[in-house]
Amino acid sequence: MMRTHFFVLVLGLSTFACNGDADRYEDIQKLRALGVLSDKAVVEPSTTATPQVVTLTFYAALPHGDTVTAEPYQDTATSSGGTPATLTVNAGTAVVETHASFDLYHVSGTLNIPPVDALVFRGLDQNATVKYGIKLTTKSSGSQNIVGSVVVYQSGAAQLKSLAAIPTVKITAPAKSAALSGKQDIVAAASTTGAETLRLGWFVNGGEIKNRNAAATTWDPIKTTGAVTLVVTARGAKTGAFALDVIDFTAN
Amino acid sequence: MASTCRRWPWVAGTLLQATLVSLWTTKLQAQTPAVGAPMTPATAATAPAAAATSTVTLKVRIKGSGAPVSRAEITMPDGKKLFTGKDGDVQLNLPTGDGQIRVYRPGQEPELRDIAELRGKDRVEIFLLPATPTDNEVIVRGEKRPEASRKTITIAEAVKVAPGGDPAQIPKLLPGVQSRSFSPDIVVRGSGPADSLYRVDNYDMPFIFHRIGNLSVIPPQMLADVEFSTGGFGSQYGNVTGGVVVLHTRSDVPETPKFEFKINIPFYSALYYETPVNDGKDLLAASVRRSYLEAFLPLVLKKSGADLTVVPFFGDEHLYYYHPTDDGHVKIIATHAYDGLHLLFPSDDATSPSGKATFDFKTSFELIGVEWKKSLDKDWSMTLSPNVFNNDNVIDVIDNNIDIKVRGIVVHADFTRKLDGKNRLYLGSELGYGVANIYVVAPVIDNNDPFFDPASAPKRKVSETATYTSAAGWVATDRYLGDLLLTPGIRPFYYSQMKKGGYDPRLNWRYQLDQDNSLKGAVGQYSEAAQFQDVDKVFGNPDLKYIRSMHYILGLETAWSDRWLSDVQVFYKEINGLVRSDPVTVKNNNGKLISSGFELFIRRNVTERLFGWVAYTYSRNREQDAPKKHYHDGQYDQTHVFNLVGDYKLTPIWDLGGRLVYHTGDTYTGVDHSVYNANLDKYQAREGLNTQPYNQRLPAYHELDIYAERDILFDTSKLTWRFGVEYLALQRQAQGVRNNYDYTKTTYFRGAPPIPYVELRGAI
Repeated sequence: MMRTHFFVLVLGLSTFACNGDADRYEDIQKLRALGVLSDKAVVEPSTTATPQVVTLTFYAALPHGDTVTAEPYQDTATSSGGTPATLTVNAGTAVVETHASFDLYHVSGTLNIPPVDALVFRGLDQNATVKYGIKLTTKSSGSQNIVGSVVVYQSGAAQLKSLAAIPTVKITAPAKSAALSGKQDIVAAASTTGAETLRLGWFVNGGEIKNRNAAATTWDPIKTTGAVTLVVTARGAKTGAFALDVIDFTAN
Repeated sequence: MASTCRRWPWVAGTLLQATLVSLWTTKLQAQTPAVGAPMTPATAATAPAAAATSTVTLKVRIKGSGAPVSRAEITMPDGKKLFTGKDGDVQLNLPTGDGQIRVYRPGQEPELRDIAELRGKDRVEIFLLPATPTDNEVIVRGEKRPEASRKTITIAEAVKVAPGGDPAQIPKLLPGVQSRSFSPDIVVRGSGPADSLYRVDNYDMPFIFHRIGNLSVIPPQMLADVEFSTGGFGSQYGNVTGGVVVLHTRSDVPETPKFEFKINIPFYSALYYETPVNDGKDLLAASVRRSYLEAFLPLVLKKSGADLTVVPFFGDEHLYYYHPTDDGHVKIIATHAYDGLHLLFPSDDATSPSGKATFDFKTSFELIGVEWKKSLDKDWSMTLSPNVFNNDNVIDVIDNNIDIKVRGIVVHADFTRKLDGKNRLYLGSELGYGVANIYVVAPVIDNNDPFFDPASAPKRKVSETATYTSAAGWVATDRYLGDLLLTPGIRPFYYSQMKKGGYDPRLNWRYQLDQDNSLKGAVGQYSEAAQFQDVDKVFGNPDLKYIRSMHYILGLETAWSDRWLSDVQVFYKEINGLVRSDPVTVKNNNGKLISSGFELFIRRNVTERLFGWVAYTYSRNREQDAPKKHYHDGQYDQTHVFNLVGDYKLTPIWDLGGRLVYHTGDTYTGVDHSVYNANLDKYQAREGLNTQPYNQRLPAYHELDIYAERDILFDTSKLTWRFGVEYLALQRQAQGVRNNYDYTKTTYFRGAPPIPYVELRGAI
């Protein structure tokens, strides 16, 4: 009956809208991957004379007091393109920066780029990708399998210069260490000299962000009070070149 | 954000409907003409003493419609019997003295009237109430049909028990069919919703169900019956591997005009009018339906605190003309149907600062069709059915756009030749031509690009005009060899998007074991052209081949009595060349499906008192996605499906009925783990290395829907209240699964709670 589908439609959509706050993407309550910073946005294939090596720094949010182990990870997906390569986790590079509501963890690894005959160049841009993966495991906050790709262009390709830039991003509102009440505008300034657009992503330890992919949006504390840690990430749409910024403030 | 669940406003709707009934009743009482016109003073002055004879015209009518009752029996006090004419009238010579007349017609309650009450009046109207229903006579028998899996359900049955009172959804309650409560689409013996054929007579409607309203686009008043086949159908149907649903329009002319309305708050209203024309020889009918959800829904959502905007709407209008001739008929149908939806909802893929994404959808079509049925001579008859149509589809999702307009003409021509005895020869053709204007702005899916994100991938713009042609012919014959009926047939075809043709040979047979038992079966090939988007040079693979299926069916039909029929079947169906995604060619024909099972159908034929049926299906549907890969459970696989349906007329004005549905839970592919894709800042599901598709199953589903109907009869009109509850279940049923953002939590998406409803219909 029509009445049935009316109720189903409203019930379904209301559930979608009403229950989403229970598990929101931007809410950090456990180990959460934030992104991967590569020291090179794009790279060329290795040669015997010039092996290409990329250093990757893996960023994650970590609840206070927990510890992390890192090990290489092989993605099981067969549909995503790219040449797999084994990551070497660099011992002694794990760093934990303490922030108000969670720690910022990062660890580095090294990726050897294969030679040209081991790569598959495709698409209008004629680029190849090299896949990597790392698994971060904590004692009590779960684990994260992080995968990504490094973009490779043939030696002499124009993109090796036009896409070489690493972006920057900075949170311009609210101010660091501010004490604030109620809904807040949150603003980030992101830029790159590379020929690609940037995707932004906000993370926070409570409340709700209206549009977590917008450069300027609002944060609603809902019931969150006390220390708040806010993170913004920026990544290149073509290369994945990465940057992040973190601030702490207090919600009254 | 605290969310509250608010009660739905059906109480307000019920109160409004009650008010409407009150106003309606008052208006009718004011309008009801006084019967038995009083004598004029002149007549009274000249009237003899009470003992003198007089004449009166008796007008016998059906209460609730005012339709004249022909052949009503009038028994006079002296036992003499008279009968009303075609117009329901009879002239009575009233005898002297006292006494009573008795007015009676089978199916109606007898009326007694005193002679004294009639004396001195020129005309008296008598309205007969419906009689207490009996179980004595079968009104409609489940007929034996030459095709192995075909079943026919009358509209009278369908409007009572079908979901939504919608005859087109009756197949959901028949064997061989999987269904979902929230969707009118059906899965037939493992074949998906797009793999079955829906027709109204010989017209392929661009869509048969309102996407938003979930009702079929044809109002039930224009229909006579619903014919449904789950497979093994004859050569007259093609280009599908699943089933065939045909809604037959009516072929009768009413005696009097009728106007019906339906008010369903807060969803839609419907008006229907039919009248005999051309001196009562022809039927003209018109119908209009329109939703008004869009006015109520935003208010409900706002009050519930939901952070979204939903504006759905749908409607349809129809004109239908039926002209019977001495050797056939002419039918003309003109239809306009439309659906639309505007959604504004919070989404991670939103590009606006508000964080909300938009979804706009509108589809509509207009169709004009003519059916001309004629006997050419004593042996040949012909049915010619041309139709023209125009179909618009617009979808806007975030910043993607699809706009497809199709105009076309299709002509069906069917010929039947009587051979010797009951043997027949059937010939037919189906020719179609269309023009499609396609405009698409969307990302081309590239699974090999690890940075591919549909939300932000570069868009491809495609703007083109394409023409298509379709041509099919068919030949079949009914050959009786004693008690064995063989119906071999062949169907050649060509569909321009495939750039090649083919042919499907088929055989139906039936063997009459004895008077009550028939053994029947079918074997045949059923081919289907790939969808247009799958052969598109940008979004698909132009080199795809036809999808081919083979059907094998064996069954036994038994008439246990004139009340009870049973139909038991086993079936095996193999479909090769199913379209699958391909990393190199975009699409390929590597998919395969094997569907096999057993069906039981027990039918209680319709009497005045009762009708119903039980349908049970056991089936296994296994798929293979590429050669040499393992078979796995299919996307559509409900192992057990059970439907119990019935309607019982308690009294002449009270009906009770309902349907009980049970089926094994639907399959879905479980998520073994997830990864965080740093390229996209998104979590992606991953299956285990040995995970098969559709390896998980929802809990079994059950649902009970019950209703009561009560007629309120006025002299020339009727109101019908329908009260009921839908989605009664031991707990809210799982309809699907949803995962949280990182696939660490899987919850069931639960269906609706029990929903009580009230509906009011009226007929004048």
